[in-house]
Amino acid sequence: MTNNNSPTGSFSPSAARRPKRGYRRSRATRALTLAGVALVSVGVLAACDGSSSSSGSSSAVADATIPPSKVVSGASSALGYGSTPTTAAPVQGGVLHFGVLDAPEVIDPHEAGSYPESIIADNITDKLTWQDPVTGKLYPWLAASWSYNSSLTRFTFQLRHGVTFSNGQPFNAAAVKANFDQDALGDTKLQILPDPTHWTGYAGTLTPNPYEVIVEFSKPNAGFLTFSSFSGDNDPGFVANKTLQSSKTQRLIPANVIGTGPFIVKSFTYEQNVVLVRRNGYDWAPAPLAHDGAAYLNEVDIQTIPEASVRTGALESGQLQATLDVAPTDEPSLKSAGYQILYQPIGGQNIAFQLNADLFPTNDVDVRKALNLGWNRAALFGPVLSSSYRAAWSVLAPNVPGYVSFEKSALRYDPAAAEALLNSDGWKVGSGGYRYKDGKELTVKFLGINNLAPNQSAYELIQEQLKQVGINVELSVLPIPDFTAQQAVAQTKWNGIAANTSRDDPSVLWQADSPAVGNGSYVQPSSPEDQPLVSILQNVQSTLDPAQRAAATAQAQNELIAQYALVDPVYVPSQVIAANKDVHGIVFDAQSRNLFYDTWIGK
Amino acid sequence: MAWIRYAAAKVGRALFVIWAAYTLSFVLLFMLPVKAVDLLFDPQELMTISNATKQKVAAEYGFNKPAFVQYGDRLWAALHGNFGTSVQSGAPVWKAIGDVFPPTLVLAAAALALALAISFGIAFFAANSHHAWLVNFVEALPSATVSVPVFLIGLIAIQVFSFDLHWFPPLGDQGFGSLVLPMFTLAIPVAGPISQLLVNSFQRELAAPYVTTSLAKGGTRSWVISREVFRNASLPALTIAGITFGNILAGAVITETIFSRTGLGRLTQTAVGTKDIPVIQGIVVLTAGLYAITNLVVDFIYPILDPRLKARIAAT
Amino acid sequence: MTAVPHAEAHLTTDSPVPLLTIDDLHVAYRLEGKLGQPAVRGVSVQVRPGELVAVVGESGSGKTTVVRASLGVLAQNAEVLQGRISYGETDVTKWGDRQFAKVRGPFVGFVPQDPGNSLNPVKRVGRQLVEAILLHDRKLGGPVSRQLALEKLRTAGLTDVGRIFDQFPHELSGGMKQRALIAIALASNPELLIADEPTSSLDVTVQKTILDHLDRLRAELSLGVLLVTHDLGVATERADRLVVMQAGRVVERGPTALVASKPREPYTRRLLAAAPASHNSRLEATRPAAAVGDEPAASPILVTDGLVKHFKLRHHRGNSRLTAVDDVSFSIARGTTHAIVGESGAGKSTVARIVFGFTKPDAGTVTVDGADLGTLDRAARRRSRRQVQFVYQNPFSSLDPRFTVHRLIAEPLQIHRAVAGRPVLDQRVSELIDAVALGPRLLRRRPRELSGGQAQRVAIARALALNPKLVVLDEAVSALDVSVQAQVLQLLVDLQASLGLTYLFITHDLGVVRLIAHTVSVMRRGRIVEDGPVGEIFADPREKYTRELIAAIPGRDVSPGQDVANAGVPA
Repeated sequence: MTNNNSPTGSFSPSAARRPKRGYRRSRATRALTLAGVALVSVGVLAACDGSSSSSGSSSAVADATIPPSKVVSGASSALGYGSTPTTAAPVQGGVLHFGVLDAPEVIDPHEAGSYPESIIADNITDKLTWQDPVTGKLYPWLAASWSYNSSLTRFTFQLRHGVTFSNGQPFNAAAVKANFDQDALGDTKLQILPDPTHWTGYAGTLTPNPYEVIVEFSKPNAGFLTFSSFSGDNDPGFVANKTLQSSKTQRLIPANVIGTGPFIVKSFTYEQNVVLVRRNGYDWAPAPLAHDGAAYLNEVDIQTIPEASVRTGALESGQLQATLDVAPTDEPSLKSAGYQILYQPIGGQNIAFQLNADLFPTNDVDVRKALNLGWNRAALFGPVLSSSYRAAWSVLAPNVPGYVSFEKSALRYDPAAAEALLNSDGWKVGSGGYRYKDGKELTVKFLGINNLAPNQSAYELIQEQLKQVGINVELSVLPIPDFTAQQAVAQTKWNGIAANTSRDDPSVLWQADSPAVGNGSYVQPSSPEDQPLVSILQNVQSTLDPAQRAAATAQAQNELIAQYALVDPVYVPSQVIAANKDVHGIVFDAQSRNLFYDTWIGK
Repeated sequence: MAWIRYAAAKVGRALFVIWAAYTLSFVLLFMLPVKAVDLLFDPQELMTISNATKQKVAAEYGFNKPAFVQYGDRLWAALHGNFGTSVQSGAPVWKAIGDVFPPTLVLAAAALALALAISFGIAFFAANSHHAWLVNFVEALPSATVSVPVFLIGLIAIQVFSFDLHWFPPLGDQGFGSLVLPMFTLAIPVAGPISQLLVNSFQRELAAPYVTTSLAKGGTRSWVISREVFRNASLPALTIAGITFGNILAGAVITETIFSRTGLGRLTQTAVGTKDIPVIQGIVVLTAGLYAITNLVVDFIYPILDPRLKARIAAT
Repeated sequence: MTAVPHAEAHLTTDSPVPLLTIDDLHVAYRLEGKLGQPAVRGVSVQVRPGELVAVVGESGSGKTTVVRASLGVLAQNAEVLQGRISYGETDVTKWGDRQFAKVRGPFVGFVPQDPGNSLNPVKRVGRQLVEAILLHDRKLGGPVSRQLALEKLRTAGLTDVGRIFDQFPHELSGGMKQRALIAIALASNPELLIADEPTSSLDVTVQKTILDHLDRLRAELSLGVLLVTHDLGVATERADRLVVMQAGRVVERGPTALVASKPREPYTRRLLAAAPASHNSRLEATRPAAAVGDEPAASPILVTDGLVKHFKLRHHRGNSRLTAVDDVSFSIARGTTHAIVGESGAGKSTVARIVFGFTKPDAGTVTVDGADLGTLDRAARRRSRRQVQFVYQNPFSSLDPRFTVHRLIAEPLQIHRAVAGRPVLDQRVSELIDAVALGPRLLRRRPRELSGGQAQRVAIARALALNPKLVVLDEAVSALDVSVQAQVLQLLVDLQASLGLTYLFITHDLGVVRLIAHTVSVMRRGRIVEDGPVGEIFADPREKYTRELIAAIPGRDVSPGQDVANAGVPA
């Protein structure tokens, strides 16, 4: 069964990467690697892999076919999937050599956008709360407790005592206020950008006493509570005053980047590596994590290795103990060679096409529904995706609280229904196989980013399948800067724009899809979808009552997928790590970023 | 006097090239369809950011001044060594480039030395050998080296010498050991054009009448090759110094990526991929400057090595 | 000048072992792996101490291969199929490079043909000479070897040797370079000297000086000399024995006086007949003369008056002016040939270009058939081009290699729209090709498929296409082999007779002047030194320079009074 498809020597594709602000490279080997993926993946990633039988099965909160890893103290399984259970005792000390694809440009947590930059940020800073990646539940961290008013415009946090920054500065309300102010408003003199997206309506932070902060908004902001634990880009981790007063340039120096976290940046060598060193005296990890006190590892050496085959080769030859950015094609051979494949689907809005409701022909809801019914999401597994990924049966990832599956309904594979819809809508099949109505061809232009390796292949599969029902998909998969340029003109040019957003909270829908905010589908005020969508997404943002919020989230998904078909989900992205068998305790948080606090290396 | 005129003309031309490169890069980057300020934000969140915010940020970076003003400001700053800061990292451009330049320089120098050794070796061998089949084989080498892609050589080298044999590390830029594989990988395509040129050049020189004179006065064939032909046949290689420099830089991009080395090549790739305009401009100016200096050096060395050229210059 | 020794006498006495013996040598070249036809078939040559043996042959005779074989510097793809080469009593046929290198220099010295390219251009002359010395005597120190080198330069006939020592080859004149090469050849005091066309690219006066010098050295040092040349005059004048080669074989050999006066082989006879030195008077036309036209025969076709041309030179010492042509005046009578003769740098080519209209003179006038060229407007000047045509020295550079012969000859007719319609054009072209005695089959060929003589005839045909009145020939036969040269000269004479052409003939070779010209101007450094009818100039030269030039013609006194051309029956 094991098929030793040697990854080295063939050209393993660049691994899954997060959409990062700013930089993406189009690589010289791209065409060749993708050809390699297509050729090699077919027939190799076969049903011999256990979970391909689960292709199509939604992985809800706990995947029944894959046993959860070691259940740690607390109720969460924050170690992701795929780790090897062990009963040995954690070993103190050691250096973890961890490989990544993209070189971090910055070490400032406020500027962190790319995945490695987020990893650094999340290991050197702490947040107010910790969100369980599986249940979505919030736990105390630097905030001991919290409350909020009924209109969700005031959030009060009681801060934990005894927390200090690594330079000795005490963590208190003043520090929180200083951080939040700079997060929300930026400081252009220091070249620090504001973050209006997550801090919409920020009205200020009050500090009634040294260990209490009140964060105020001008509009209801239900998402803010989970945002206090957010670990994606521009996350609200806390840095010392010295950092806050440094300019963007000065924050390139490790000595100027000071947080409260379990690690401290020891060195930052651009394009080479970032070394984190343990902060002795750290003692305020969130309860769900496996232990208390300082981290086990002495150091974490995050090394940048741009070439995929060199990354896996370095892992196999022992230079790295673990590496991120593992491509689906490399997984089987690594697994059969005894390496752990650790993964966790990323909570947030999946990789999906936002369908443009303002442009022909996707301004027609029947066309949009046909786009959802006309292709088989499960067919991605095998040719494109490995078992480390999940099928997208909704616009939200399965672990986001309030997730509802449309596997049997609006997102099922039903080409006959799609064709019936199009036929009754007046689209007749022409001589070339594509449909026509009033002399116009049924052509949709899709725009995607080429940052994640499976993207191009996934989109091409969609293109191929939709052709069977008579829809002509014209595909453009571009690097980020070009994609950004196209986004500016997308409303009049592109029928579908694909992206994903990491945020383990239903607010992500409000952020991305509400016509009043992100309006990813260009819903016009005059159209029938506009009002319902605005109001339901506002509801999502306006209540923290679990039942109400769940109902609103379900309704929002229903409107987005079933009723108005404004989104065409493609797949749930995952963060995949390959690690040797001695590495234990790599944590995946709610946005699937990694913490090394619990990590130890066995002898 | 003629020398002063010659030197002034060459230096003037070099300066012009650098200025033109800077201006052209500015113009081209300015004509990109994407707005510079949009590149600062996450594309997913771009739609949620208000125009007011964007304006404020743009003002801070100076993006909304008219093109001419921006050009003038930047050029003035550039003349003082200030190329701005990287849009991505915030580091001053000169520092970002300056930090990554030395490893590239080391790699380039080593690869060039090796490439020259290979090229001269091939040329010597082809000139000296008596077996026709061997000469044919050796003469086919240059085209072979040019056709094989750099990344293929690099990946195979890593697989064989690093992962299988454990002779050399596969990545990094510490110590001589990590230089060996990249050096070879980069040297091969660089050696291609040089060796082609030298093989032809050696053959041509060997057929020259003065070779007969030198043989006739008592030199053996190898004496003549090393004492007379070598120098005369090598001179034309100087003329492709510019092309060689270009090959090195292009090859460095790929070599540094494959071997995970810090360097100008990787910085270029990243900067272009993210359209980090200040860094790109800095790199363009640096590259143009290096080209210009390379050619300038050749312009001054060649007359020293070839007295006929020196006389021609003196007579103008 | 030394009289030609009687070589026969040397042979009969107990002759010493020859310095060089080539015995039945066969050499072939390997092209693309296969051996071609042998370039040298069964050649035998001997050189004894103190004697000068001249190997005479035209291009393709194999003489270069013989030279290279005797030095051991054959090309990599050459193979000695058969035969023996000996230095003294030692058989060196199978010697390797190292062995040869030891004796090249101390035993045999080589004087090459082309001084321009035979010295390493990037090394100073002195250094190259010192290398020649040190290769065989490593122990000599710096100052000693330098002194020795200076001495050699002096021996070779150079003055101001200290300055020359430090100069680069391109800073020396042709003659100086050749002398430096002689110095290098003699650097290690060889016993045998092999000289391959050592003077063919030099001016005739320089040539004489160098050959004189070689003779002196030969006498002083008892050198044996193997002199390879295509110039029969040189061979007959200087050699003790002659070896005549054709197509890789030795056709005839023997003491010079014998071979020159009683040639046995037809080829030898042809060669001797072709040599300008063997003629005393102008060639005679073999075709009937054309009827004289209506124009009065008295008015000259071309009159130049007071031509002056300056060129500006820039060098590190500032600007200076070179006067290439200084007050040159001559005229050419209709139907005659006027020669301008002089050495390199005399300005004769500049005059030719002025006459043709390529260059504008700074002063003076050129009058062609009564019309002053300087006063003509563009259209008129263009018309005047039809009257004056040009033939260059090297046909392979003046004929477009892409064109067929037909197109080459037709081109002037097409440019000037001289004929209407293709059939008339073709007719004219075949007339022309006929006139230069080439077959119509050649019309389809391209220049590289022609021999040197054929190509030059094509160039002449082209020049005749527009029925010019005046044809300017600038060294038109200098690049041709001797026998071919003779044929082309005969052709020119015939054409002049049958078409009533007038020629302005530029040359450096006085021997050729005597064959073809009616009148001659002798130029030196831009000025006309002497002019007048050819017969008078040759019989009684007034100026010293003219006398030097005439004296320098090689082979003049081989057969004074004996018109060898009429001795045997031409083939």
